Amino acid sequence: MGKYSCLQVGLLLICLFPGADAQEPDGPATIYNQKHEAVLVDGGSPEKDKSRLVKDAEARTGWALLADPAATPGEGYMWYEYTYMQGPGRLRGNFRLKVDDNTNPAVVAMIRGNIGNSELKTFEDRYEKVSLKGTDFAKPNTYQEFSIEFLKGEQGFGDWGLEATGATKVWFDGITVEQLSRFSTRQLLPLIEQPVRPDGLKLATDKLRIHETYGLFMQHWGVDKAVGTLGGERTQSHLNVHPQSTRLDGFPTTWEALYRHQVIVLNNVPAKAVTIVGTTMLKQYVQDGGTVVIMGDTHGISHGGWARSVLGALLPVTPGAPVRAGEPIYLMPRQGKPTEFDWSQKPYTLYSHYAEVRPGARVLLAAGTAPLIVERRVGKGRIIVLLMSVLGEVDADMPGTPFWQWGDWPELIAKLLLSHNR
Amino acid sequence: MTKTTRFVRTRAIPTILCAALAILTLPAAAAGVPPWKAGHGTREVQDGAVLANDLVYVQGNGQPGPRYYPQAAVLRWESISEPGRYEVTLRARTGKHGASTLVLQAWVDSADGGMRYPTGYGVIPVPTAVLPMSGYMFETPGRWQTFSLAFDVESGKPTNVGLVYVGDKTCEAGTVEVEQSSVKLEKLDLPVSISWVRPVKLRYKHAESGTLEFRLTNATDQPQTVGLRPVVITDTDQTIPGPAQTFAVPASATVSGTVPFAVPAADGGYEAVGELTVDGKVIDRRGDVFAVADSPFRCMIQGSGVLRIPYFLSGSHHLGLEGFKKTVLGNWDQYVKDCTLAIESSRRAYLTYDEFFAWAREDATRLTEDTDEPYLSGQTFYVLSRRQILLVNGLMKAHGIAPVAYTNAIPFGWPGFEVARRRPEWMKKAMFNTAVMEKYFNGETVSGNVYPAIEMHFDTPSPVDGKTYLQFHTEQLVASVGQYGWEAYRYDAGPLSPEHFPITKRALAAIDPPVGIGNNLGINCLGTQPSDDWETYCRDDSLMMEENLAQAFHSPTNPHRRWLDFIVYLRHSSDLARSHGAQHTFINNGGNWYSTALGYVVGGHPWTFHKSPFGDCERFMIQYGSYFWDIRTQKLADPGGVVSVKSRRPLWWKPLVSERVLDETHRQVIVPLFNPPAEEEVVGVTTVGPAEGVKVMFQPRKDEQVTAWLVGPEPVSHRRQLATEPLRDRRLGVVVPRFWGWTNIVFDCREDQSGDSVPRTD
Repeated sequence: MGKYSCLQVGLLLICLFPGADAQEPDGPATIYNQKHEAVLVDGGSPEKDKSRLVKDAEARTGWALLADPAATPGEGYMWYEYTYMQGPGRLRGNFRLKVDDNTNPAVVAMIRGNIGNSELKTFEDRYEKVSLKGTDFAKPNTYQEFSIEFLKGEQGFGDWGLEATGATKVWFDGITVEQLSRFSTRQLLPLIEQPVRPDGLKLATDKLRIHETYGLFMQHWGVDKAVGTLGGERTQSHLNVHPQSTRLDGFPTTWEALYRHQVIVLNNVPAKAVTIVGTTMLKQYVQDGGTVVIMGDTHGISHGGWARSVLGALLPVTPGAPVRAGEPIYLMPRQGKPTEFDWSQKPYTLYSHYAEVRPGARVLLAAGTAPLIVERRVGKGRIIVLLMSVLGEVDADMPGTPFWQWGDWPELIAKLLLSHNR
Repeated sequence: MTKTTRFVRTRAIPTILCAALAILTLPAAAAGVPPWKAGHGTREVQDGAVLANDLVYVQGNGQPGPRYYPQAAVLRWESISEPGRYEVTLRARTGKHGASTLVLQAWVDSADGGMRYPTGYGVIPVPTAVLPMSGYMFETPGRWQTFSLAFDVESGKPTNVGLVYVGDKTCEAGTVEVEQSSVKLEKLDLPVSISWVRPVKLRYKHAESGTLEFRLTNATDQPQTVGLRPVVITDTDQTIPGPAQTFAVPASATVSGTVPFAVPAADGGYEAVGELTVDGKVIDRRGDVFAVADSPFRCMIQGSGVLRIPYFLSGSHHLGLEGFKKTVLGNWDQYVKDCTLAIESSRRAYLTYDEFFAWAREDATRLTEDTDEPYLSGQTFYVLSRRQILLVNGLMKAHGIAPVAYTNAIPFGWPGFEVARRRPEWMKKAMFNTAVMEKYFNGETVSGNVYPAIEMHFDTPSPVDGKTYLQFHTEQLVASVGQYGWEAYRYDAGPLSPEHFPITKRALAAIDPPVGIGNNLGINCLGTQPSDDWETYCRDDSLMMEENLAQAFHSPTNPHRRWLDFIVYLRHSSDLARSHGAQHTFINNGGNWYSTALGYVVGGHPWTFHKSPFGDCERFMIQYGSYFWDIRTQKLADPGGVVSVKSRRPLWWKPLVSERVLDETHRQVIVPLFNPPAEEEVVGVTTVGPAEGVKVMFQPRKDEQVTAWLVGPEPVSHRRQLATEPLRDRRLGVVVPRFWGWTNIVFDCREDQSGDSVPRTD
């Protein structure tokens, strides 16, 4: 381990950090958080068992779905749809319908909504169904809104449906979904099932185990090679990003599984995928001596929403937007001092995440005044954030080597992973 | 008694030739004709005067496939070795109408060089001549009908002939009976015959030169010198003769040759015929159909022949990369033979178009390869290689079949992330699962819904060189055309926006030869009404696909489940595309021959066809498709106002009527007639009987002179004039000959320059 104990930090880099010409990429939107979303029936809307697409001048797009008992008698679906744009909090869905007979006391339609793939532990929190009678409509043949409300957590998507009973003709021209309020972490956590941390649980020390999330471009970062040079064991989880569910398959979800690892490398994954419960556990894990490394490109420290996560307050930096340098940013040893690494290959990065170092954090690698690797001790453990990126088109004529192709890069990573033993 | 004669893939031989084709009435042995034998399932009835076979399907011989089993002969001859043209004749009857795969056919054993299709259900010989004798070919159940088949025996290719059953189920037409005394096999007195002929390509582009390839067989023991003249026949029976060339055919030999012909200037369907002459007199005439169009969409027939291309696309998935190397690249010579045969079977099914689904390493961003090393397609994990695609495309293009590349505007494959990594400004958001990604980059094949979707910013310049993603994507398309020779691209689930589509279309059109562009944008995407978006995507001969309609076949609650609803939707869908200048296609995988033929008559190109039991609709469309596919053919707004149909049983016709305006004084009103099945729902195709005694009445415009034509595929493609009867109110009527499934009446209307206001008919 002696080789790694002399890690040189605070390397002097040629500073070509965000210039006026730098452009901010619009990264993947993994959390939409729109306050309003309208799903209106139009000429291309799919018909269901009990509905037919009809023109209707009073409908918002000129099209409506009609359930006509004369054509399709009996109960059944006349519409359903999913929405993905809402954040955690209270939602309201406004269904716009009309009937031809508002004197009918029978149930003529049922509106319902729930959150699919929700992590909320109580079904009633995330589901509501309302039966509408003919007499609930103020006028015949006049559109009227009916609403349902329920809760959404961090996970899941809106699943909305409308059923006709066959009691009378029903027209439907769409819904609007509103975000009525947003949950804070403190408000949300009690609604979610959380594993109980066993008393006396400690980090394993029998063997070096590192867990790495398999984000996009993970293979470029070379963590697996670094772990290989250390003779450690590496486990991994896979990032699955989908509007209906963003998750990490294989991430340690129990306290015991988490504490078997000395280091958790969150490689290019959003906080949402780790979940609010997972990040809460990671917070405790760091307090108890674990190391969390956050790196990445399209889903990393900036776009991954880490500043808003449970770990946000503990991060060594306040992340800003990722940026591209006008020219490569070269990694060089401070003041030209020799180290065990071969700097003659001129390792460089083309993109990095802008960030402000927080008080108490330590810059391990910087480009002039711009930090690239920053560490913060939290409790018995630490959080390390890497702000460089493997993004960018490498020009063969460009002097130097992309840092991820630099021969000594895995060793530098290895030194980071082990530095808690310094 | 009726007589049904077939000379494979030819028109009826004109009367003028009959003298030259006088049948030798020599005893069979003297003419080198062997005796026939009855098959295992054939029995003698009526004191041996009649042969009977129940055509009961017996699954067996370890080949349980649903489509084919070893061919059981009702009766057959021992193989014939003496070169020349022969004719087999017999009288037969069936107990009732019904589907059956009974055929009178000639074939050559594989040991003698005959073509055979190795299917998963056994090896089946490919006939050199065939006459279908399904139950629908018999005009009246229980009545004797004469069938005859002419075929050629080439030198060194002993040929079998017989009445065989190739079905996979018991014949619906019941027992077939053959009158023993009628069974004859005779050699015709034709010194030299065209024993095989066809245009080299099924579809020619205007800039190409036509070539008719043929084989001539000398039936005599003396060398013969003959002339061979190519003649192109239009779909209105106009002939365009080419220059004759002279060929020497040694005694009892078969020789191959080619003659050039000029590709007609007009888009459309044609027949290329070889006329064989001796001393200036035509003694034989034979040919096959072809289409002319620069656009592969214009005469598009998409589907598959008997054989699929081996280890291609989904057929390679199970091999994995290593298995592919061993099975395909490591066995290349055999693979070339297998592909050649498979594409030959496509050609024989009259395919003109073959789109490769999800073939690329990445659908939008990686459409070329630097090496022949096998790769996994990014969306589907199919195993492919540049070498394989070049082989398949080359074989297809040699037949005039257009290889077409599936594409998407946004990446649906894992290598797309490498573009996003290099140029992150282009990436908007993505859906993905890195568990699948890991397997892809490890070279492991995965099944199911395993692809990512990467939404892109199309107009954001890259800081590297200022290039936009749209430019990059379009450059990929153009480069791939350079590598593989695609004749068109079709966008699928990831379309170009209305703003970007014309830009890419222009870039593809600027390639020499121009490359077409299609979409998967139907009513469900662009709406039911004409719009600027319809105009943008359609104009100038795009291809528009309608995918939703396929649900009618799969979902019992689909609103288009009933035939009548299906037809209305199909017609409207096609009308939206065609009225804006595009060709139309629709997913027809779950369909049947009715949905296929309905697709044709609305000017569409069903995405996979289903063969009609009553005639070869695909061959028909190659020859006569212009009546429907010509973009000047458009839906007639008010067919009921000018056309009426009288039929004992209601036919489908009204929503299908079209008008083709050829110029200001010449138009055609095309009235398709469909004899509906028993079922109301689209999954039903049960035939209830032939349509007989149908009358079609038409009211021409003032000053129009009208000729009525019967144009149809049953039992073989035909176009013939119908007598018209003047009716009251300036209408005229035609009587439609009996048909089983589909026929068409074309009222050809020309402005009468005589000034006579009374409608005249030919």
